[in-house]
Amino acid sequence: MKKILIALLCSLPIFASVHVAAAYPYIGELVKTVAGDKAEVSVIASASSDPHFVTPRPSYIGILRSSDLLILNGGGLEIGWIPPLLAQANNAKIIQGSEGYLDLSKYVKMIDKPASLSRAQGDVHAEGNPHYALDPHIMPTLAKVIMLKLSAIDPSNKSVYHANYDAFAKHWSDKLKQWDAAMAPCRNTEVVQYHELFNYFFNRYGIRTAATIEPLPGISPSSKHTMEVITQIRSEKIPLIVQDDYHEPKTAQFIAEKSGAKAVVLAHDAGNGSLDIWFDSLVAQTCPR
Amino acid sequence: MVKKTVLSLVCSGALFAGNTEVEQLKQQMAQLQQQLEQMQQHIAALEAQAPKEATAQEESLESMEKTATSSVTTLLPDIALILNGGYTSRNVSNIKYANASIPGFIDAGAMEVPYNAKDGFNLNYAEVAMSSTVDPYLDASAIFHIHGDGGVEIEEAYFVTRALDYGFRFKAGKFKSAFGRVNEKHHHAWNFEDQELINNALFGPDGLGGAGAQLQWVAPTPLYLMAGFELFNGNPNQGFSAKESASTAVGYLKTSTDVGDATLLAGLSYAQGKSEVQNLDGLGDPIPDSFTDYGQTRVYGADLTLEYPLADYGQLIWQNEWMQRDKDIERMTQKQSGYYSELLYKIDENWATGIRYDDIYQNRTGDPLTSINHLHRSSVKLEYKPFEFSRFRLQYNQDHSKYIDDQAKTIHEVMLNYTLELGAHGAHAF
Repeated sequence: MKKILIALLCSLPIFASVHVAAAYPYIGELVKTVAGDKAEVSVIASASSDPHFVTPRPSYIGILRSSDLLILNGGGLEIGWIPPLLAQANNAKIIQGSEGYLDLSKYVKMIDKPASLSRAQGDVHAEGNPHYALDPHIMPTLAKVIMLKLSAIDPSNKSVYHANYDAFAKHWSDKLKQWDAAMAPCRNTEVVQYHELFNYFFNRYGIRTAATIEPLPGISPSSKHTMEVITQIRSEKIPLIVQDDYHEPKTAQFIAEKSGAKAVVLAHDAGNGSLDIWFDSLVAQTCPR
Repeated sequence: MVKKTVLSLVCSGALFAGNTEVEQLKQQMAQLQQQLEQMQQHIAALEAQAPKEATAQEESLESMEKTATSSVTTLLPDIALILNGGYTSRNVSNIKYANASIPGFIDAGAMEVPYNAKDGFNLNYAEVAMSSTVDPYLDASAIFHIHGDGGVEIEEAYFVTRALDYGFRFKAGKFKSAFGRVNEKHHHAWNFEDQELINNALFGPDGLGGAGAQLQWVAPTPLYLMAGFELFNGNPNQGFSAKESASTAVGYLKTSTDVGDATLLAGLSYAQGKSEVQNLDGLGDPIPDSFTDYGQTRVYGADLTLEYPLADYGQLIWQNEWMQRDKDIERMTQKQSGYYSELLYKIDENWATGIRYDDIYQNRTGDPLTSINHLHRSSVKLEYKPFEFSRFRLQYNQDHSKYIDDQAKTIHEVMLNYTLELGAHGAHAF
């Protein structure tokens, strides 16, 4: 009987200091980097699914129910799936406005903010393009915000969070030099994207998005628009078509075959690797030597 | 001309009255000036004393914010407008369909058909939904249905707590019960254009609910476990006593687990209320405060859903729900049971299809008519969604659940419906 009780007590989360729910994998990676073993991180969305439409599962409520801190990408990216989960998790610690609710987009200057709002323009993001995590130069800011938030929630480990952040910032600035150098030859080139998902990455490296495969955000490709894109790629000699791995790949392949451009699938989030691996492969795929 | 004289009169009046007041004001200003100077000296002294910490402090979260001022533009509630309508064709005339019955459940002439009632065009409703956070402690929502015939109905209007401790949440107002899997959902979130047969037969088109209160609790476990308790006023259309007291109690337990990529959802529900019936006078009108107490009405429910994600936004859902009602009436307890099973296949972002089978297999009510035939219905649908907020749905029903003029009648119906969601978009729960 005693043993069962002890086992039960041990399984309760009283020994881990902070429980963090991260909306997306890259946030989870940042928290692991900054917190080390001082926090237990649960990532909700997977790196392979559309970040706009994460299918809500009740198990996510289990995660949210027992978290001390919820970290969101923000900028409207989670608007289609987090609110009902958060409402049903009944956890006062992480509701909007409380100490344990962190919206990272508040600390980022967002681009592509629409001048006017109408759904005639498709599924537009009112607050601007929320896929800012694809700019590697933004990562240190995000890491710093997470470090400050963790320090506020768990002051006893403040020095650990600071030390881990400093180490990350140093490492990352070396990586940034590498990536900036590797991307330099591709400045002033053009790409075609499926959805304007990689804008922050391309903007950073001076690559212009000439067209998107979807005619408007959230609208599936039409044959008319596809033909227009093919003509444009041919006339402007655009070398690269990029897309995420959750949209159907057939249209991009078709366009590549007809136009001679190369189609690649890019990871929009840190998958099974670290943040380094994610950006290493983005750089290698979009600006091959 | 007149205006000018009036103006000059008023001005001169003000001047006469003003002379002494101006003096007073001058004095007051001089005093204020003095006070200000004193305060400035005081502040300078304090600043000299204060340590230089404030400037040397490390960067704070607040100082890093970039969009704090621009994101909030209004305090208006979120407003959404949802339109639903379409074209229906069925092999029964409108008058006969309006007088159809589901024997043992809904009498002829008493059936409520709020959606697709007519052969031909229907505008089912314009739904207006508003919701907002009230204060740090409460959220509130109201959902109105403006029907095609002009009637306005408050579907739901309630407040919910935001931040109770220990995983509790309290709701009160008029709302739909979370009994079972689909009862809580609004028409535009239904998997088919019409309600599941057993839900319709037991609780009517609005489902179990009404003015009441709800308490839900989520267990602090990785496994999702939710328990809820609700109290409503009894509603005779939902099989409970019409006596005005909070006599209908509902309880449920819901859980879910992930098996690889698949999600399994299960729930058990129970509702209990009085099965009193209001007595009628010789003319058939209800006699106020006169009831015959037969005992209890009990409804049992169980549901099981399996969801499996497929590539390119695809999804496979197998959803099942069973219910039984035991209702005490004169000298016996009625027993009525039914279930539905539906298989939904979301092919991609734009296309979805599905089949459903509804069955009421037990209908022991003491009335010989109801036990003759078992009631069932088969449905198939095809959906096209050009965009996230618009949907066109084609559905065919072969309905063996209705009686017309006391005769079983197979109803064939084809419905083509549109559902459009405008404005603030509330995300849907699982």
